[in-house]
Amino acid sequence: MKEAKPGWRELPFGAVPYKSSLEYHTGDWGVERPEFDLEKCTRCTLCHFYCPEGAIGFEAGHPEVDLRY
Amino acid sequence: MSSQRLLGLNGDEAAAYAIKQVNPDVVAAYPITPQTIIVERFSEYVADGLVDTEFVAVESEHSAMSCCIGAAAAGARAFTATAANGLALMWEMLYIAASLRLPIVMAVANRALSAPINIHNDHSDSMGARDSGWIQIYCENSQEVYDACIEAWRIGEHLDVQLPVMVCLDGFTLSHTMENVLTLSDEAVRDFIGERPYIKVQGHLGEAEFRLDPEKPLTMGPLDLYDFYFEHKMHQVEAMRRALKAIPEIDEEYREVSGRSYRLLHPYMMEDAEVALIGLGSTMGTVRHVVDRLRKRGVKAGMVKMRVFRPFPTEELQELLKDVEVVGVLDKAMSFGAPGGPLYEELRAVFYDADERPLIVDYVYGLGGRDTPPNLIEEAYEGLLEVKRRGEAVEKVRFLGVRW
Ligand code: SF4
Repeated sequence: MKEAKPGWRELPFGAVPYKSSLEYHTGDWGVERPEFDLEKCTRCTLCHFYCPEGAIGFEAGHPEVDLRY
Repeated sequence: MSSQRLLGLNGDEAAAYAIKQVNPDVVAAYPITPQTIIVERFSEYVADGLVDTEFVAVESEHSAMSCCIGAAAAGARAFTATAANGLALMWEMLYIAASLRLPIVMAVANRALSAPINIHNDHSDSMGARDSGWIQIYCENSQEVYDACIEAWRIGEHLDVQLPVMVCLDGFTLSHTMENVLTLSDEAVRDFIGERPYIKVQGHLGEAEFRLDPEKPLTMGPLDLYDFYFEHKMHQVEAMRRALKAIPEIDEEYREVSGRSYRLLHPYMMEDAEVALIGLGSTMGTVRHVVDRLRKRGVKAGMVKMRVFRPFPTEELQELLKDVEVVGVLDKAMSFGAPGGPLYEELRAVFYDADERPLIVDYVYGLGGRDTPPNLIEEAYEGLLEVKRRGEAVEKVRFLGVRW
């Protein structure tokens, strides 16, 4: 999920979810999500080891996060 | 104004009679003293074929509220009634009814919570539910109970509001005391409440009316974690703010039909009052009597009856009380370990930033139905006059009518 989440004024009311659970993945629960600035990234791999869930991979030679991990 | 019939009704009967005229789709209830008469009387209306209501005799109050939630979510008008421990047993469902924005109406015959077991009146039951997201109306007499049980539907179902409404009546003092009650015709009630309106929401399959309908599926209240829960709580904040506006509007419409209007607050003799008591429910009738007595002796006493406690009418209260020297709060509930009773704490919070503000003291009174005769109220006013003479309140939280 890339789009910003709607604010309270835009949300359907009555605790009705704004999209179906078929389209809403567990990884979408996040309020904030990591973004890598590969210009600044030194490929030190600290984030890969630091991430407690192991969601940051390095297969591509630079850090990549699996948002649906 | 339509013609009206005078009936002798106690508070519970007044509630049942109003609900009979409203003719809701579903009533699910479990009897508990002092609310029992509401359920008994209503079940008679059902047995006699005077209403079209589906009456569900549930096995507990938790089920009563759950049933109302299901019915209201499906688009029905749902009513229940309870008291004290029954309300406590509904607890988790109260919050669910409010946050799913279901305009259920519930009469609460206020009774003290156990232990020790007590069936008499105080506000410990409904005050405990003050954060549950329900609108709360407190009634002074059976007439107000009747009127509130009609108005409540329009308030809760108002498109800007969509919240459940609790109509609170003091156990025994109102629930079991017969009074003259002016009642509207069935047609006038029907015209006033009309059909339940539905707000349109954007569901996951497009726009739909806010009710469960297999043709237009909606999901209500599924898992909602740190990503959306907070936003949904903002909806409830906003709905309460809007209810402050909607209630007087509906009241005005009701005045046109009935000649009776209630609004949020009822001031009495407040124009030049130097000392005043503020409180909720039936005690305020006694307070009015005492104000008259004191006025005859030249004491500039006034009072404010709060009809609506949720939403809290902050600005109206600031305006009404800013020039009063000393205000006494009548709290028929105690929040143990708190700085004072619930109304006292909120009133003080409302005045914290005000340039003009009264000295405020708390009178916790009437717990477990302890009698509150005029002399006791007069004692409270004497306390306020003493604070006025001293210019400060040494003892801020007082317990009125307890044996020391
Ligand atoms: S590899 Fe990860 S921790 Fe290291 S610089 Fe790049 S983004 Fe930062």
